[in-house]
Amino acid sequence: MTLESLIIFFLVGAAVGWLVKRAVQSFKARQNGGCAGGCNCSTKVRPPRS
Amino acid sequence: MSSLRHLPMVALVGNPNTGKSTLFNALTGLRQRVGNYPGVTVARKSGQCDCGEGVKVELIDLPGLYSLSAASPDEQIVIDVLSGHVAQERRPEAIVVVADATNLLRNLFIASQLAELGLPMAIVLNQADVAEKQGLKIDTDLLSKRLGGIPVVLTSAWKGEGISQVRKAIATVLKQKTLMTQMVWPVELKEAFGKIAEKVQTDTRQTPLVASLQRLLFDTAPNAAERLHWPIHQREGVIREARDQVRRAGYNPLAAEPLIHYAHLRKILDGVVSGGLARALRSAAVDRILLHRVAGPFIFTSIMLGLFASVFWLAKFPMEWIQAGVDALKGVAAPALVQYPMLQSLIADGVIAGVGAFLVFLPQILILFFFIGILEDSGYMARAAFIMDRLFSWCGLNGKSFVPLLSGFACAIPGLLSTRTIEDPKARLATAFAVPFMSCSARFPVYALMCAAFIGPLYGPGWESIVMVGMHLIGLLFAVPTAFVLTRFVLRIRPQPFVLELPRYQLPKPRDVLWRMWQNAAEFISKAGTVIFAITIIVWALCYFPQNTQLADKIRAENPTLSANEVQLRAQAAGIEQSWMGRFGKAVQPIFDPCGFDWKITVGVLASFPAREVIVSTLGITYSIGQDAEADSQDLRQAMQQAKWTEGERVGKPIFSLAAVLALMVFFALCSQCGPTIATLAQESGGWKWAAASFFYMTFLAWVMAVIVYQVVIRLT
Repeated sequence: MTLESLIIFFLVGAAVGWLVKRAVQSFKARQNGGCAGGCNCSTKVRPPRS
Repeated sequence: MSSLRHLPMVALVGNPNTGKSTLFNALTGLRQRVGNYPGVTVARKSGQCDCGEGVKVELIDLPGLYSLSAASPDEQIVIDVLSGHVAQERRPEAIVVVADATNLLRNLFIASQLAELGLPMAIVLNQADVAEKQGLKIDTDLLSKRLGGIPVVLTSAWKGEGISQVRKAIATVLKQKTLMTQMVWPVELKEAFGKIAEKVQTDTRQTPLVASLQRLLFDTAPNAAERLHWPIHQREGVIREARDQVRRAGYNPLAAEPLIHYAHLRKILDGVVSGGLARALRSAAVDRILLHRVAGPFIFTSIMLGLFASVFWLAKFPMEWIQAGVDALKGVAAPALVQYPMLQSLIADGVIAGVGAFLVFLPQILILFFFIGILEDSGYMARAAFIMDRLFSWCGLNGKSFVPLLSGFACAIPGLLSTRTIEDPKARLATAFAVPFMSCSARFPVYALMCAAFIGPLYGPGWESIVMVGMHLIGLLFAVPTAFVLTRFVLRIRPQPFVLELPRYQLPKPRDVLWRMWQNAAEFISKAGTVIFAITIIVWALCYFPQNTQLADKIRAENPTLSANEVQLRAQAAGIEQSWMGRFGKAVQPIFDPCGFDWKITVGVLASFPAREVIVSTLGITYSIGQDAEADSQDLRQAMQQAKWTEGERVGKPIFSLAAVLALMVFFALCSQCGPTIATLAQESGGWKWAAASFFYMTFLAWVMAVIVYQVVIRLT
């Protein structure tokens, strides 16, 4: 595997990982009754810190 | 939350849009905590407020409400908190009522009702600067005296004026426990309250608050009785008897409360407020034209057409500059990475082409929100709500549905969250079902791309704005019959009255308009740099892999005269068809073939299910791979204009015909393509059943309409 392939592999993996992490965080935030953000709404509610 | 429990708790209460949250932010600064009240999805905002002289309090910002008879979850929580009926929540030791200084009569109605809860109170008259500009003069000393000596403070929270006086007022009210003078009820009504109180004590062994007795007598909703666990068979007779007594005394039980309160408040405010009449008359004269039954909708449509025409016209040059910047960047990056073809393709065809295709629409977003800011700030948006309400009222939607539906034009999520203000759960559900039909701002780049690439060049800029307005109305046109069927035949609900406060006309504040523009631009840029960026990398990978290394050799063998660069480009163009995305797109394309979508559009449509605007960057990638990365004329619009069918009956014909462009826009106008919206709908409707119904219904409807539009237009053109 070349360095170029490694870089591509890392970038694609990071993009997938970041999107999955964001989706999980949004799901949790919504479960706490608020908007997870990303919609520019004025009702952004962050979940309480436990 | 727990660390503030040792401090006395003070609640901020008031009508919506009085600047209550701005005042809360000014009083608590960054020391805020946001959570939820137990069992309901209503946010609990609290913070520490230092009132000076060693007095510190926990300040809670309660949702806005107009009266204590409200029954929406947001409004009910206010009543429960102030009555001390919320588990794990203390009863506040004092109330600060925030009132709009420009409309004291209406705003003090809630204060007059709250006085009967027996809690110490201070009154903050906010937006004093606006009142001053309107020529209103308020005698706060006289008002305080007439309200029993409670502190009355004038503030302008957004300017930060009068905040220290509010702090002092809170400290004073906690120290002196001053109560607002309660209204004196007519004897007949007092007797009616007494009868109900006696029966409540006998049946439930509880001593109800005076405020609860009023709710039992005046409200048709059973919320107050349910809070007291007072069964219907026990309460029915006594409440009917008490209402008959009120009727015999010459009052209508359903209207008596506001009439008596307002009569009381008019006496209190007599001589307290002066001036401002000329301005009110001017506003009323303008409303006679703008809200006219015939002229009103005509003016509204003209304003919308003008708005979109201006957006296209003004954004044309900045968009070209951004496109030139994107092309220049591509021109620099591509040769620099020529040694690394895979990385070159990722950067030039993936990231720069994908994110660039999205960012090109920034000027249109800025200009759109500039005009929306002007319309909102001037007070016209509330008039638009009034005009549009006529459309909704016949289809059985609750009058309060308008605000969520209007919010849906910006984004469905705040629209869905604002359905919480609707009392009737069925009406709430019907509105939530209709909200995703509203044309949100995420659909805007899709319409803008299609209009700029095809409608404008073919038919002129006038048609661009007509198509744009049409696309924004198409969701509405389908939402209305959908809501009609849902409310009449599925949920069987009756329309309810709608009260809308029309603000006075004013000149928009440049700061507010620019701030709104900046907020939306920042969100758009942040989306380009995060979600769109990540998705472009993934879409690029799916379009690039698996690599067929023999493809280039095959092309070279078939065309020995081609240069190495040309061989590489042809290999990439052929490679994308054999990529994972190409194979997937081609496998699914037959479903969308009746809509006139080729496999690249199909890929764009499928990739857009998590978020609509992804189609722009996806098309940017699928139409970029295989193009000459160094050529500066190949922007997405041109690439799409030149795209032709390579197989089947339509071979050689343009893929993006008028029929296909309109079908694609109609599909995006109606399809349920937003993951967070579906999840929020599930959350607000209490389960996945309605969210799934909405998803399948909207997606199927979008497909059917796209097929109809394509098949009809292709035969006509």
